[in-house]
Amino acid sequence: MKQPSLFAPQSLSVSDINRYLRELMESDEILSDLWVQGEIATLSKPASGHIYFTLKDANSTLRCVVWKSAAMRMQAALQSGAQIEAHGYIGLYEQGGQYQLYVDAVRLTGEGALYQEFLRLKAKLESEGLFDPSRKRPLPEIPTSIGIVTSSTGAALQDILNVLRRRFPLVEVVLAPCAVQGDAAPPEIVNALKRLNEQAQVDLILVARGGGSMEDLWAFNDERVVRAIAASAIPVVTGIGHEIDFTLSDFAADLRAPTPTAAAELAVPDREELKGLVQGAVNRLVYACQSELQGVRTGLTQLQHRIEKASPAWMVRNDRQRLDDLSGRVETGMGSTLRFWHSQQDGLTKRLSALNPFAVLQRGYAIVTNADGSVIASVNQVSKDEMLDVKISDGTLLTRVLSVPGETEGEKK
Amino acid sequence: MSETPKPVAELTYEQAFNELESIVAELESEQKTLDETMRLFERGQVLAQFCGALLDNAELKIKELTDNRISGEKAE
Repeated sequence: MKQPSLFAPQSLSVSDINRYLRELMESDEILSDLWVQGEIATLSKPASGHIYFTLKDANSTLRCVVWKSAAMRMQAALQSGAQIEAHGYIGLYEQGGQYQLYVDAVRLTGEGALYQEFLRLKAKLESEGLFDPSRKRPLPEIPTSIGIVTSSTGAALQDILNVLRRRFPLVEVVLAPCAVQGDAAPPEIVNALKRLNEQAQVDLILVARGGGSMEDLWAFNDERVVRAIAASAIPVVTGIGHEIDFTLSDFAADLRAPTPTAAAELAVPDREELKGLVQGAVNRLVYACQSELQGVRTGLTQLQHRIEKASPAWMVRNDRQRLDDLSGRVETGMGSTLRFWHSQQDGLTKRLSALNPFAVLQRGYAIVTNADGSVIASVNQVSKDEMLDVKISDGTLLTRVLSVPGETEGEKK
Repeated sequence: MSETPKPVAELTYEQAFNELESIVAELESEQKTLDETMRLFERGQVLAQFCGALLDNAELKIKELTDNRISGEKAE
């Protein structure tokens, strides 16, 4: 073994060597960004707010420091005896001559590796377009048959069946039982999806599992399962774990429900709402028919009127009425005519009586007529010794003309 | 609507409800003969009763896919 030249004649101070080592460590790529796994021992949380602990495994220990600024975020994980993974860089505490891990993040062992795998697979499948919103298909409004991929013994199945019974028991359920946890789960879930696609006439598939830890739900982050969900020809709704749990299956599904119960609720309509729709349709049906009938009835009434007008009976009645009308008018006319003539006659009678030549006789006048009955109004009409009738009021006198003025004696006219 | 309609009992809920909807729409949009109106009304009533009965009386049917086939009705 050769003596390194560094340790040749001149010696270094402690500070020099510690500074040198610190710079060496801090320039190292691996040491400046790493995760270290171990169990927390000798945890110390002084008033300064910084946290000091050691990580140990079966053989070794490592000193760790968490500065106050970072410590706030990781109180929960830092429990004595906890298996953790700590992230940070290895540096040298020069005063103590000790190297240590300056921690900026911690996580419980296992979680981290799973999460890394989750992110890696998510990025990969995302880049393939498996989670594209454009791939999401609408669910059938009213499914006739629903496939369920879950454990036949789990609470999730009972939750789903209860919802379906309550909301929409018309639907037929085809259960494709499978393990939902452990190594057997991914191939069984894939197989259940495949069989439902190939053998069952279902409109919709629910993939469900009750709540659990991240590891419990891990089968639903399995690449085979995620791909099988994305490849399903039948729309898939996932209800895996609780509200806060997101699996890659959820991203690949056509619809993600927060729980199995919610998945069932999203899968089927509520029968009370459907009854309302049926009742609404019936109301519209009745109304449409009523107005239709009203139209027919109005048309019928109009036709009835037209038929009646065209019928002989109506014509007779109509003629009869016209006759009555005319008779009335005739009667009225006659009446007034008669009354007119009556009044005319009265007037005439009065005037006639006024003109009665005999009336004047009462007042001492006389009417003289000759033997022919001609009225004598002039002396030229008579001759001497002619016999004349002199009519006075109460009789006629027969007289002889003794003389006629202007006529010579014995001379005949 | 001129072809003979399927017996109502053979329809699924969705088919029955869709037919009911289209009958209503037909009656609302077009002038019909009295005969046609009465026929549609009666058909609509039967469909509505059928839908209501399905919703009220249905029992969830559960089948199970076993290894290679679908089993018969599974008792609940």
